[in-house]
Amino acid sequence: MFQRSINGLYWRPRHPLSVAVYVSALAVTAMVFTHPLYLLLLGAILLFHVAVFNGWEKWKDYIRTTSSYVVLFVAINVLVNGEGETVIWKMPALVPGLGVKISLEEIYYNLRLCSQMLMLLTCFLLYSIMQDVDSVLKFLLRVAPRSTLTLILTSLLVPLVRRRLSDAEDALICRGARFEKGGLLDKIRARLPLIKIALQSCLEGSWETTEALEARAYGVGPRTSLRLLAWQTADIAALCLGLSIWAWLGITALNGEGKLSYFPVLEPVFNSVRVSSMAFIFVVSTALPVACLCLRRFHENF
Amino acid sequence: MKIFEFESVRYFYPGAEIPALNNISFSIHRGEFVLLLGPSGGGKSTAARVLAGLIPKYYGGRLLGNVHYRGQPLSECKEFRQHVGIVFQNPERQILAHEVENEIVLGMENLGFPPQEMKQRLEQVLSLLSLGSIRFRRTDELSGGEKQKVILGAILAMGPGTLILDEPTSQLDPDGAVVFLSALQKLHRDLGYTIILIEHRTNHCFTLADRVLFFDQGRLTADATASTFAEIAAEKQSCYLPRTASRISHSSTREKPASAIETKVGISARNLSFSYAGHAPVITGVNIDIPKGCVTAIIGDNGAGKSTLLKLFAGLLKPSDGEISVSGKPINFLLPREKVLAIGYLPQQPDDFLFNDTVEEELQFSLRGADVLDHSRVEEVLRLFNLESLRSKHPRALSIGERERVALASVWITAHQILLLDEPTRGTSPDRRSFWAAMFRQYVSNSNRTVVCVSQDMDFVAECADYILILKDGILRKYVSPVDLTGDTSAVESRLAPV
Repeated sequence: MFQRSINGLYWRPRHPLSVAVYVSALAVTAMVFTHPLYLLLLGAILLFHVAVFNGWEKWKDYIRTTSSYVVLFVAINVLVNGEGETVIWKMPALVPGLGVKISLEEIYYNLRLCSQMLMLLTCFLLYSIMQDVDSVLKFLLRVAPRSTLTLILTSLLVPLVRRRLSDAEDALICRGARFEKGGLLDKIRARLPLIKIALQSCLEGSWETTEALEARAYGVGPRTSLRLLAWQTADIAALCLGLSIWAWLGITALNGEGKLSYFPVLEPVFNSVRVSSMAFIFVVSTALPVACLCLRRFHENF
Repeated sequence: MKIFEFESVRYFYPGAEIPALNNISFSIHRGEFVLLLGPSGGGKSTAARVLAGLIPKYYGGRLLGNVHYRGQPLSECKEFRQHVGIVFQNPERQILAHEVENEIVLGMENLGFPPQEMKQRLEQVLSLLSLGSIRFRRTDELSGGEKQKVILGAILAMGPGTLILDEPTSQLDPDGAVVFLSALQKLHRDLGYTIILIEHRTNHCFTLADRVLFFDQGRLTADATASTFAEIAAEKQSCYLPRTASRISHSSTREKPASAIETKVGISARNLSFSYAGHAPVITGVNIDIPKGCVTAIIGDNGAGKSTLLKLFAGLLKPSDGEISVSGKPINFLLPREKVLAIGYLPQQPDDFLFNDTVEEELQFSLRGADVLDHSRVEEVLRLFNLESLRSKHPRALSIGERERVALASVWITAHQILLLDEPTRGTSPDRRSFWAAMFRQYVSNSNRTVVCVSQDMDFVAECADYILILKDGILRKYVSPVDLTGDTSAVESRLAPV
């Protein structure tokens, strides 16, 4: 059994299948629900997961690099779409049909999209911090050895090339490359050498890595495994919960649960006790395994 | 008992007309420690890859002559991979798993070992190489030395009786190299492993070797015991012999640079501190005046802040506190073009950053970047670096030594006042190391110029540095001449001591 500490945790789902089912269920939930109460609570659950799996710093990095794109997307959407009846600002059309209209519904709708995108990104991060890469690769090696070889090379080369590119950028700056000068085209042109360097480094690096794989007898015959990917209680719990969420999603999709209509006029958010109670039940059940993990850790520490 | 036997072996890489190995014959006996020496492109690595069964199976090309393993043709040996293991130069590119334990068992899993046997071998390797404390660590969090030990462990776990190592310490700091070579010594002396080692830094491994094979231009030019080779090489190939201490003593006879006497300052730092956002300080309160007309080497342990200090000098990082001046002018007052003309910078493995289609274009790119219109400089530098015949070749198609020459030429061409280099001799052979040293001495012969290089290579430091800057945990410990270091009681002495 895996009684090893990863990120300081001894109890966690590790089987690639269970983690995939669980996290994908959370990700699809983030995409399917449109009701702000559900989304708010789901967001809280995801952050709770990130905190429990010690991914806070990584999450901040993720958000820092992606939030500007998300905000830009929302701003463009609000200005361009112009749907909704509660108009709060309107610019007269200089050319017929090309006026700008900002409505309250459009703002709410795009804020919803924005939060959904951030939640989806958080799910990707969550998968990367919950899952042990080596376990995934071992699991995939049994199913698709050749494709997994490509995955192994990619997972090893990407961080290496990223580091080398940073050095290459420094070297080129000192040789007079000006990455921040001029318009967008100039900036892209200045960065072309970096793409060349990345490609060449990838080619040379992958040769050395495959040589190391050859030296480690990769592909000489049937593989064995030091530890079988045994199903633990945590894996079964995560798989069951993931499947339950998927089932719930199926049922709610039929009933229209967790949905809110934004156009032409925003539907009241708290229109029934049922919505609030369903959202609450959903949160409690989804957060249960991670809450158990916290309790266990608390008992171990004190 | 003979483990390997080469009989008149010739090998041509795919498409090559000149053989990389030319009529090579030698044998290696069980339990021997064999050191392969020679200049770059001499044929050492090719011979090692033939011994490891990677040539011609993996590389292709034509292999003529006979290679026998335990009396059998090597190509017919089954389970060869289980008997002969190879460790390469760059640990970064050999690490295949994300956790130490998974890395060590990977080879055994590929060979289909039963789990119980894997467990036993894993425990043995962890204990033999003292890797128990990092067993569950992520491989990307390990130091270079730890990574190389993990790779050695992964190969040992596969159970070979013969180990081939291609410059395994070239990416390690001196302390990491000593630890790694001690592990090899243990394997050879206590467990009877046959070891075939390619190594440029011979300070610590020369005395371990039973035999030395010297390769030059694809030919085996010497096959002798270590002591006999030392006698032969003393006259012609003395750069391959361990001699750091003697070089330092020679450097005491070097004339004091005129500029040092005149105390013209090339780079000056006042209360220089730096930390990456949200992290502890990497550089703390550095005050220094680096004179013109001198070569200064920055040395220190991994993580001491050497590369960060160099980037600060290059103006690539902004100090958290303090100020840097270049020839008396604050670096942040320099215009971009002035900065490009004043400071040249080469990161580690600079030949990796060549991207133009020809050598000539590579040099022209630097001139364009500095807005220099004098294209006669290209001819001048091509001549100086002996690159005229290679001007229309793709830089990546050249040999490593030639690529390094192109990389240095691409910086040299703009004739900077300050030349900053991060470990220029990492993984280079003694002859190439001498090339770098000679070029730096030539560069500072113009008393307006300064060379600052980070280096872990004490031979190189001894050969060309006028001053040594010692960093420890981001703090400047000393700035002295190499001669003054010989009586030093700090960590630096321990690096020189084995000689």
